[in-house]
Amino acid sequence: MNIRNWLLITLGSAVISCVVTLYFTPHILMAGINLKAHISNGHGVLSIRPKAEAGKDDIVRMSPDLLYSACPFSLTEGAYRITSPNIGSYLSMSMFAHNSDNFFAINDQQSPQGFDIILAKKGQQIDLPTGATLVETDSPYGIILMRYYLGDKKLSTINKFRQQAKCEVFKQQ
Amino acid sequence: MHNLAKTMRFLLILIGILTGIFIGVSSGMWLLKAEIANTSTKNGAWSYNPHVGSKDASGLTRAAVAVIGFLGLAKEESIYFIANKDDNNDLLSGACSYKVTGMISPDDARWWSITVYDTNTNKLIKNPQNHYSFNGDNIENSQGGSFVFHISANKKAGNWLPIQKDPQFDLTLRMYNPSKTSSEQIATLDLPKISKESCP
Repeated sequence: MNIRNWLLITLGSAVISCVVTLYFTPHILMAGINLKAHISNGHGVLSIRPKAEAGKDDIVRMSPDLLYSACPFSLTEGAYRITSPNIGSYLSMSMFAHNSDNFFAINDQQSPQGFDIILAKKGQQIDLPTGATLVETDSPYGIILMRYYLGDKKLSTINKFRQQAKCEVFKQQ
Repeated sequence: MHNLAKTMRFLLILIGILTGIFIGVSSGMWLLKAEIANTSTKNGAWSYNPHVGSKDASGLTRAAVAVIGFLGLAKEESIYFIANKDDNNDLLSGACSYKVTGMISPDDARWWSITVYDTNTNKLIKNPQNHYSFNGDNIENSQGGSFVFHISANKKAGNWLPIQKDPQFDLTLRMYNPSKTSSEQIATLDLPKISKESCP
């Protein structure tokens, strides 16, 4: 192989990698989460993540003042129902699409009775349970994130509430 | 002999591709950092990017935001400020010590926190105390929302955030459930001051 061909290969892969980095970073990160969930059967499972600590924070700029619970979703499996009681301090639920767009967020002050949300594909027929809120999206997959403010509370106090939260495929009656 | 030539050729192509990927990703990250700077609003030492959590960002801006604020929330829910320089416009360095003074009342936001991150990795900085941030509830001697704390590698009296001597670090100020005034007047909000106390 002559040096010209080698340089062309190097330059070509540099240009492609640069474009992918510039335009597809969020898609790659979200696809990674989706793939990991697919492999570990983690779609529709609300994982209670430990408090952020140096060396154990796998997402950039995690807040040590928040406790996170995450539920990757894939709407090919059907709609999802996410429920959670309030904790007496800040709590929010946010939903992110496959391109990392934050398409929905709600906090405890906006829903004082706790959360009961149905997440479904746009246009999907849903027999909405009484008191539940319907959220529709075009995104085939993504992630639901719960943020619990720790403040000066004990970890065990917040964890009791976190364990009561659910994220699961919605079974219509 | 023929096989050796084929192996050498394959290795050369592989090295070329890997070198290209390294150059491409590095230059891409450099351009994303430039995009963050171009699309951010400055307020003293702090900068704010309105595209965090926004659905309206272009593909390029969305990628840039993913580097600093992946899975961040829109400004109606939370405002994120980042400072990598002090009030004298000098880069924050683990070799120096700093004093942060501010005043954030419940009228400005429901709760706030300031966290130290390693600028290069965007991750928390290891320290024996596992102490990375202050918030309005755990900071001591806070009166009416005013607060003072120190950042340094060596222990300080009072509110102290430990860092390592080596890394360049930055601060993230989070204001959750900001008031309407806070979220609409981001460029003129009275944000915490970051002053250098000492440097070797």
